[in-house]
Amino acid sequence: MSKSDDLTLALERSFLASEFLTWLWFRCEVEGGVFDLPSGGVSLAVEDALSLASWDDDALKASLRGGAPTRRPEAANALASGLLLKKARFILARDTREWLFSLDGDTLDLSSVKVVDPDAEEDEDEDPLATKLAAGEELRGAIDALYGEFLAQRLDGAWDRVEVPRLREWVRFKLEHASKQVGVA
Amino acid sequence: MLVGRGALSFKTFEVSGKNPTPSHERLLERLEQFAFAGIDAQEEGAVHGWVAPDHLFDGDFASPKVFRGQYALFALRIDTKKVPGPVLAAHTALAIAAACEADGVEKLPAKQKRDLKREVKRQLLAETPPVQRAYGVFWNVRARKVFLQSTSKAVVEAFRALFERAFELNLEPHSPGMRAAQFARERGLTQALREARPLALYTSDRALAAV
Repeated sequence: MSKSDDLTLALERSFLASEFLTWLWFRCEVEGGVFDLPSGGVSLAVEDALSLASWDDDALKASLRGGAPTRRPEAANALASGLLLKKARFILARDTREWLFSLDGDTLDLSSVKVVDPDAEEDEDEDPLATKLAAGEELRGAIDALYGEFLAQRLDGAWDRVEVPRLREWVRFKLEHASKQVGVA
Repeated sequence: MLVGRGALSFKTFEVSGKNPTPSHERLLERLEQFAFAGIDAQEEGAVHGWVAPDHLFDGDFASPKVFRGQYALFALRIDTKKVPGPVLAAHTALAIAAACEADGVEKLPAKQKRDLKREVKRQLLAETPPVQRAYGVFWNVRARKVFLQSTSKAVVEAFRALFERAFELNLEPHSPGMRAAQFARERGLTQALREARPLALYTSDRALAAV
């Protein structure tokens, strides 16, 4: 397959990125968000600022911000209406460090990345700028590895048979929970 | 410091080409050669070039400043200059009215109007300061990865074109579709990728009308 074939296929399959974000959300809620990556374990949580959109030309959109939005009835209803996660603010932890960042479901670009390391000690030999940039690059590597894990499942024969029913069950559960929250059960 | 300032937002690129891991000397030489050279006072449009990592006007590509840890640091400066359409239209209308009054006529020939408009634009461009912007770049040369501190399409395109010209290398922006195509190709899963259809989580019959 040539590079131009890759490009055509890439454009046609760009929906995978928002599926990836939605799958991360599912894994965080259902399996605790712990991932064993080749570069070391990480734990992940969807934090705030959810943007959801449907996958069609005249996209339906929903935005939720503040007040634990992943647990809001509106989030469950958006998923049940066919919307997928387009952008969100995540928190990723590895050892003592935490990264707060936004991940874009069109490009997988990282934005507003902040790194917190309460155990970091001042080391005169270390360049704080180079350390900050390296932390950004490390986060990029972790997200790419997570995307690789998603793709391995997405392109596996078991995706439609096993993972899709689990995702739908998750949405159904969220919706039932939402019904109770709003008193329409 | 332009590079690494504040919370990081960046676009990632893979570097490839004949010599994807250039020496420090070559890198500095190419930065100097394609350094930002300024925009002409009467020029309209955008001008791009490299600046050193400290600030907008930093033209000193000194090795200790550029090479920090595993990274080469510099910035893309883009100056743009444009006379806003309504401003040009208003000044042109005033100039035409003044010329009509001076000549004692009601209307000017089309050619004279065009010449007046050109002259007004030239004057306004000379008076308009350029919008000056710079975007940090950090390049992990050994890992063949470049990070641009902007995700704007226009900035990404300008950066890619200048980088490829300056360093005679190819840049491939990270994109989820391309990564999926590459992943599938490397594992013999291209057919599975071709057959992948968008995920439908619909349970719309159960969606809550009330929420």
